[in-house]
Amino acid sequence: VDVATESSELCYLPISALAAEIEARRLSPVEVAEAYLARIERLDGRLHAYLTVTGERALSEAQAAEAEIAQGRYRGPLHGVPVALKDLYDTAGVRTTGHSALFAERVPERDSTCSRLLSEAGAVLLGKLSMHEFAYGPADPAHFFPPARNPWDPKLERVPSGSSSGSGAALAAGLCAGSLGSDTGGSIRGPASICGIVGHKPTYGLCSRAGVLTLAWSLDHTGPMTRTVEDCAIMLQVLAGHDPADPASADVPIPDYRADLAKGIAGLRIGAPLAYLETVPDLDPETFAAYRAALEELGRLGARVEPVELPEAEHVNALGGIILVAEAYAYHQESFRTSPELYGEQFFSRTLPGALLSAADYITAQRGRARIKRGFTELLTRVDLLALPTFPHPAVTFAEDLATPAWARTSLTRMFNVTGLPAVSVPCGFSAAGLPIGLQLAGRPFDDAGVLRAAYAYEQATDWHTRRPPLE
Amino acid sequence: MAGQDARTDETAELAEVALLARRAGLALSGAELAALVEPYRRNRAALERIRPELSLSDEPATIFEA
Repeated sequence: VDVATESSELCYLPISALAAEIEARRLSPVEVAEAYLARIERLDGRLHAYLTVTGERALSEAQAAEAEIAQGRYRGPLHGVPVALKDLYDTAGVRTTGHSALFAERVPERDSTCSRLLSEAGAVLLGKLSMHEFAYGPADPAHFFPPARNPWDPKLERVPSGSSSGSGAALAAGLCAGSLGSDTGGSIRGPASICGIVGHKPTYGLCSRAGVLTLAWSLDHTGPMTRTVEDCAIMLQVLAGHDPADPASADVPIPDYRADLAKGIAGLRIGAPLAYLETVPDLDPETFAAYRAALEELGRLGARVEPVELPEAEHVNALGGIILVAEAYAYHQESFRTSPELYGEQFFSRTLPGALLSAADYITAQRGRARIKRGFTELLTRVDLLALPTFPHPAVTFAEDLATPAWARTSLTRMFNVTGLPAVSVPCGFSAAGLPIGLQLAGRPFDDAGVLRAAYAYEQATDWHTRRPPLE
Repeated sequence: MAGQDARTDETAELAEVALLARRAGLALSGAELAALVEPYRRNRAALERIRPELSLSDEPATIFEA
């Protein structure tokens, strides 16, 4: 076995397996961190998944983890595990840019709550990951920071999707074991689908947004991105919980997210919004075929899959978009007036429509949202889960992405930001060109465990999650 | 005639967009203003579509806790 192959095997180990090896002291956290850092050094010059690599800090944290574990002070399944964060999670002493020239030299004094929770769990920080500027708009090759590339495209001319683009690319390329993304209209689930990994947008309020750069207060979610569903559950266990520093944080009981993962989905009712999917522009036939095959698999696993009508389907994407740009513009209003030149063209032009909305417009959109939420609540009394494709098509080129209107990216995901419902994306196939396709499963508020359980059942019945991009 | 009506509508919308941008304190180029017309129109249409469907119970509630 040559060094590259050996390091590749190590860097693709799921967190669950890595943790078992580290806990049993068969693998040293230092050895693991070194393998990841070497792989980043070898591959990231082409992929641009990282904006900042915190190599020295990673080694020092890995040494500390190793010493603690040797002394019998094992903290849990993230202890000594290398992770990387989307560059909008504040990290004390480490530059946090939001992928924007406006914050190019911004070094926070305090950790975001999520960064702190990962640190306390013993995770090793490899660095900060590329994203779309302030988590909105398309990948922009002309931007101040280079955009991340999709490792599944041998020519590296395709986007990893966004806005958690670096998280998707880094996980697919084996450049971190786990990551955090953020999701305002699909920014965790889109890259998860397009990069062939797992991404979970938790219920709104379950994971803290404190210390995370804002895109739109009422739609922003933080959450884990990993290579397996079990790894998502491991990370969610550390992240979920009430945080007084986040005004929207929910004070709810936190279950053991791994406990029921393997319970199966026999008897669960899963709604498939087939009529809505017929109205989605650009829904790629290969994506739809993979989705139909996934529904059949869910049926074979014992779920009752039935067609459902999505409530307020004709309103949800447009009203969510209005709320997003209104809130994003409110956040950036002052800088848009005083320093517009510090923004990338894509973020600036796509957020500007928020400046033209009145208070009455925003309230009308929020009233529509109340209606949409009621409709989804009622729908989820008739079915336990909803299943949709995550993204309308596999990865596109940078030029195609720039030409895509914002609403076209979010036709399958934004509904779960507007309603705050938990939703996960799990790999469910590949296009003929070898590009990943994702299945999205969503459920009732705070039934994140149920959503992950269904995703796990599907994942374990298939092998899509075991494939790797052609990088070596 | 239809073509002329469409141009008049577009000119009126561009003027509306320019006025709103000025009120927002933004100094935008002609190209930036022109690019705003389509999303402005789309957002207005979306709001017009939902408005007649809203009822008194459709309220974005603010909840205060003791």
